[in-house]
Amino acid sequence: MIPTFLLSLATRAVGKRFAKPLAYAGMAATVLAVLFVTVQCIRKDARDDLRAEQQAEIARQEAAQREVEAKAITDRRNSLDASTARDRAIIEGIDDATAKLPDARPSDRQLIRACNELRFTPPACAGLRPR
Amino acid sequence: MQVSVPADLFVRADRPAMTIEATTSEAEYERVVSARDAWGMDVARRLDAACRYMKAVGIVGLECRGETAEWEE
Repeated sequence: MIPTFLLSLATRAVGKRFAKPLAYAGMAATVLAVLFVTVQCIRKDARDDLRAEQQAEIARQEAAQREVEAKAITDRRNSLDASTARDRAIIEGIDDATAKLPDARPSDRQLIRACNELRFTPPACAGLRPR
Repeated sequence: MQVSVPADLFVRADRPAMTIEATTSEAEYERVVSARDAWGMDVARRLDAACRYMKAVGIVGLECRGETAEWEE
């Protein structure tokens, strides 16, 4: 079970009496080292995978957040545009309605101001008291 | 510096005059008033420009409005 070269190496190192235990110990140490390295490699791979997965998740969440924010901005802009368009339509409606109104007589205040400037000479000023 | 202007500064021949039609038509009255507004703003613009000119040639202590009056901003 123990490789021959290992046994001969152990014999050369510690003599025939302790060669076998040393070779067993060397074998065991080698097996343990191989196991340790294997476990470390597996753990490192697992850590790398976990980190990559976490980074991908963070990137996904950030992308989703950006998408939500962009949608909110777009919705807000659309809402404002719609609101502005509604307001303009209302103003245009009022302007149109005003333009269609028949020419009204000036209000009393406007009439008095106009008559005052015209020294109450026009016929429409008859009856108004000059200031 | 205090600069005084005569009280009749705005009583000028080119000021849009009130019309007889304005006593019977609100639209005509509004037209006259709007024309006077435009005329008054034009006079003010020229006064502001004169003020800035005097300030530029070295008269100290003058406070003038900017190129764009507050009602035009």
